[in-house]
Amino acid sequence: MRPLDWAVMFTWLAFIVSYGLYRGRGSSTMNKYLLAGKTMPWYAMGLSIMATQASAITFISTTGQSYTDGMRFVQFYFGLPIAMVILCATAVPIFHRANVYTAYEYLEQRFDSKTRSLVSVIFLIQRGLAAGLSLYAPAVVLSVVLGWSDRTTTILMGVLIMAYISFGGIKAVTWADVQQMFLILCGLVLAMVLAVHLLPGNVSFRDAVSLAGAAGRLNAVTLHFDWNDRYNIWSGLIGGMFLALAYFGCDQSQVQRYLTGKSVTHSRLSLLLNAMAKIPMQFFILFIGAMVFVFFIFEQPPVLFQPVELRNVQQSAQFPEVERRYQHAFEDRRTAADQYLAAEHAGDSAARQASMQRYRSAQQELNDAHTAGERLVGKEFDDTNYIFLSFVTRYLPVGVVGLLVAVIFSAAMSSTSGEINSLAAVTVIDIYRRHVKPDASDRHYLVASRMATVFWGCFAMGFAQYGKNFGALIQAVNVIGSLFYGGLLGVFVLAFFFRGVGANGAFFGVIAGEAAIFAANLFTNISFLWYNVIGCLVVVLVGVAVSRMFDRTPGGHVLDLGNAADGS
Amino acid sequence: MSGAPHKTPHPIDEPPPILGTWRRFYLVVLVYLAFLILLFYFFTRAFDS
Repeated sequence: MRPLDWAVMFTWLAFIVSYGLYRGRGSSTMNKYLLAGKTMPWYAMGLSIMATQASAITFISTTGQSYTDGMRFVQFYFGLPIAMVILCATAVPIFHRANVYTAYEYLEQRFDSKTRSLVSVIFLIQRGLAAGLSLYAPAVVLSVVLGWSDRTTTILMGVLIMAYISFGGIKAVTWADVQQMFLILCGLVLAMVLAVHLLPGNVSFRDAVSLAGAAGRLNAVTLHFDWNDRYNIWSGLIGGMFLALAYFGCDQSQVQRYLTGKSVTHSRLSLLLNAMAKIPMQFFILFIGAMVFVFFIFEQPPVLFQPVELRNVQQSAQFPEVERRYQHAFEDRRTAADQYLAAEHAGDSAARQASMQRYRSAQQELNDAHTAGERLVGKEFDDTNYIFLSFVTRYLPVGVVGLLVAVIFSAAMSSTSGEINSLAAVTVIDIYRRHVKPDASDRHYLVASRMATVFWGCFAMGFAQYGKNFGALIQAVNVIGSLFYGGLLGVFVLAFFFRGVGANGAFFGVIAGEAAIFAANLFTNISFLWYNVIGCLVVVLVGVAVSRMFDRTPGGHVLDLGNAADGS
Repeated sequence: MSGAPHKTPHPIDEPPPILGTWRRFYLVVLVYLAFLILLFYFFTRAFDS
């Protein structure tokens, strides 16, 4: 990074904190602090929800994933619009009518206090760990690029986030997210334009797409069904729908956003904006990764994209052999790519087939040489997260590098700020006010909310500080959402659609659902996307059965939903 | 529960700003999803050789 890049990055960070503080002013009651006084317009909520999802590690990994595995990851989002429609017709009007601060508060109205507390604690564990990871994972990557220690990066991000959300609450989070989403979109367009612009003069955009396709990088839809395969159309539509239902319907970090809406209409529109914009946005990010892949067909990539590990392995005695093999495969692939394009332009299908064969075998050899380079690191190591940043920092012009690093900071901050704010809401509303101090003043709970925000911010920074020592735990945290979401989704399905189910059914249903998910995780190879389906089904089946046996007054707290769920 | 966040009930049945009913709005979103999947499918067929 050059001085202009640093200036761009720090200017943006200073702007976002100042803007968050400015827009969050006047959050002087608990209602304003946690729900923005229910004044938010649909577009602000919608962009904020999108910014929260566009976490930094997703942003960095998604382009890298497309580079190595193609675009099939986009199928992961196919179930999201269906989930949004279901939630708009059910959860949004129900939560608004229940007049609650948190989704779990509604569970006490519907079932009882023990179910609410159980689900709140599950959320705090899951989201607390995820908030730490949201800081830790991008900090590790950014630290390498910026030349800082992990500690410096996590503390900088954590302190900046707490600076505006502890004062301005959800209003500061939402309006800062709108600006961050705007920057993220600008950064994406800029990255795409430059990735294509940097291709050699004789390679057109059509040629680039053709080369990406020939290397299997444009596999956006896979019809083949496989339980163990994360990304095909079926796991995307069914598993992705359940995951989105759980995330947007039961996770307070999302529910809190649309509870801030001026009306049910504004909340619905914010989710439907997401339903329509999310898939094209993910497709666009993946397509950038595919174009970066084509760029590196003509510009030799390093054996490893992670610069620190690359310097380390260069000392290894085996490195020269790996590098020679890598260089040879690169040159072979480049020659085959040129031949492939020449055959395409000439319309010679036989030459096209022959060059494609050579191109693919050279690609395989390059992949093998890269894997051999990764093995030299001598520890579990994934180079994927460094591909896009390596491209940005080595090839993009001064100023743009600072802007794109600021985009990644923004993505990390928008994800973590929403998580911390929702953790504070559940801690104060569902635990502190419900079980510790039920009759204090609004002012008291406002102060408690601010303190809880600072506590969760420090917790996330603390987790991030020691993240590298957890090793395998980090892998576990990656799928932690799916370990818990199935149980959460199941209890809300019982609440919304099974009026005959009472408190005991819901409580033991959640426990059984969680047991089933952990069993699937420990004893089977089923992809994590299916855990939500399994967990939800077990909660419903056990919940109905237990309720029939033990709930004497099933549905005693059922809300009168009226026509809330008819969607019309 | 005391301290409810908002005392004014929100209109649940307010229609969407366009298309008249929410049912139609949802249908448009689902048709749009089907269109995207088809588009991506043909994109894959065309380029992922």
